[in-house]
Amino acid sequence: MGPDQEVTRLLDAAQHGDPVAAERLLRRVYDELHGMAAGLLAREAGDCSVQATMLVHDAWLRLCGNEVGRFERRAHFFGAAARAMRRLLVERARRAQAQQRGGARCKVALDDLDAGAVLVAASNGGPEDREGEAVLALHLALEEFERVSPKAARVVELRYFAGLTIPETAAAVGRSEATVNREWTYARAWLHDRILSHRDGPEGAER
Amino acid sequence: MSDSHDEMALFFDALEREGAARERFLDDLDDPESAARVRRLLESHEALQARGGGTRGYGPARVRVAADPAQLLGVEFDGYRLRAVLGRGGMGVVFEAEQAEPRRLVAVKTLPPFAHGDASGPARLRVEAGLLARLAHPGIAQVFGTGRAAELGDMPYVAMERVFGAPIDAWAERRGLDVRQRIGLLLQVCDAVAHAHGRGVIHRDLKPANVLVDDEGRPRVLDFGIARLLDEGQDDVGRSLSLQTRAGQILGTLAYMSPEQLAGGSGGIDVRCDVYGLGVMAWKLFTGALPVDLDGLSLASAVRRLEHHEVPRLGARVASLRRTDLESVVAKATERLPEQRYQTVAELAADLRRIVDHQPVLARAPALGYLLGKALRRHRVAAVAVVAALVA
Repeated sequence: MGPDQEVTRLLDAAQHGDPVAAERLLRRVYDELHGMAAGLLAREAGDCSVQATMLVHDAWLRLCGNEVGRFERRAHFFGAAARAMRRLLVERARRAQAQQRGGARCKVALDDLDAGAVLVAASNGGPEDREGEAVLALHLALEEFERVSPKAARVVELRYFAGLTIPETAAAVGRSEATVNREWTYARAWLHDRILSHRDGPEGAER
Repeated sequence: MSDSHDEMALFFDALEREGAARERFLDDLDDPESAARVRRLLESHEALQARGGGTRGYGPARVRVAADPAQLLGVEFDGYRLRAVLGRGGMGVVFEAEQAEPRRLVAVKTLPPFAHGDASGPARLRVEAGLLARLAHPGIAQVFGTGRAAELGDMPYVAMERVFGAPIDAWAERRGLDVRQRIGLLLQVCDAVAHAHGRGVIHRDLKPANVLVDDEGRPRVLDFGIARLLDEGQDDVGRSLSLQTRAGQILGTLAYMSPEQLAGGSGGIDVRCDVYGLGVMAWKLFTGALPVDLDGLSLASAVRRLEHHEVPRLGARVASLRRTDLESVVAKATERLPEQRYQTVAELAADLRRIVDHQPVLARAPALGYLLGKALRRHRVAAVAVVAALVA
């Protein structure tokens, strides 16, 4: 499959700081991931889990073919994909939550986050709802963290939602692996603390 | 919130120190509030470390797909609206859908997506669908069209006639049909399959689940040609995802697969694989059981068992005056070697009809050739001698 011309153009424009192109790119990647998730629903017999990495790489292949040379373009794509994936997961989790309003709201268990299991497909009850809660908790904590340390927050987004490794993340953000590793370590401690204090806080607020 | 850059620097300054040195460092900080913050961050960090080292903690995310296709109900595309989930296979899902124009109920079956770089996939699907749409027979569920819908994640799909009915074996049991009536059902199925063969379409996956009988006792064959579409163009995600689920799904249908299909490679597959499938279906229909017991086997050992398996003769499992004839016919349909089976479904049907009409079946006639063939495979050298003796 050849590269999607529009995506390529959007990527180039977004790279040069065009905010409209960036948003349209995000939308396009979002639709792609959304479609892929729907595809998983329409094809599978049993429950399964896929690494976000796999979905994002698949989206890259589908939209851009396997372009080897254009490194910045690829890095930029994964940035957009991570954000799109986050949006997708958060929307799904919110929808799942809205559907069962009034039910007992379980607090986020840290182990859910620890497993990194995230909900794509909304579900009816069961552990998936807790994963949904976990996604929301991470998302909200990350929103706060973005104000504290935007660079480190970006690292989390790439690592968590696009499944990039440390070297891949370093390449995508254009900083050294050592720096990215530090940011990742700090971000994890920060988020862990934040989510814990929300959970144990007097109001037990999830948002 | 305090300046984050400072906080991160402080965090690592503290992290680099250990024990008392760390305590001293934190105590010496001017701002007790940030010292408290850093202490909490260090605690968090250590808790995370204790639970699985550096890279676990937060991610990378795994995307859980609670594969409930019911979530796609209500989705609309290409003039179809999904209404219900009819079935879930290892390779796709079958939905009931409402078509807007013409207004009718259809079954929509999703197929695995095309592989990356498979530019000819969509065209191939169209050609294949055109072929299937040309099959017009009351015993074949009509294919209406195919397409690819973004709403289904770009998955190709086939829309076909929605058939109401029960699998042929279950139906025959429920109605308490006698052997003669069961042969009658099977003859109708043969007729439908022969129609498709005449138009160049092989089913490849004949089994009771694909033959539904309606209230009036008319069998309908589903999924003609779908097995072939499934074999082609699977992408990596699909392949890795469907492998396990597929194993469970196909176990029950392995017994209906001809030896040449089991051997792999869609190369030499021809109409005779459908003859075999019909033969095993007859076995099931007449005895209520499968000719081979695959219960509790893994996929690999099931295939191994089938590899050297000869379909046993019906024997006393069937209570019928024409038992030996029936036995010969089923045996001939399920020969391991395609060239020893009936060469066409029409030939199989003709012999079944002879049973009903109280005429001698052809399956028993060339007994010598049949026996010779078997002997030939077992004792090649000896058989050559026998042939030589006959000719001499």
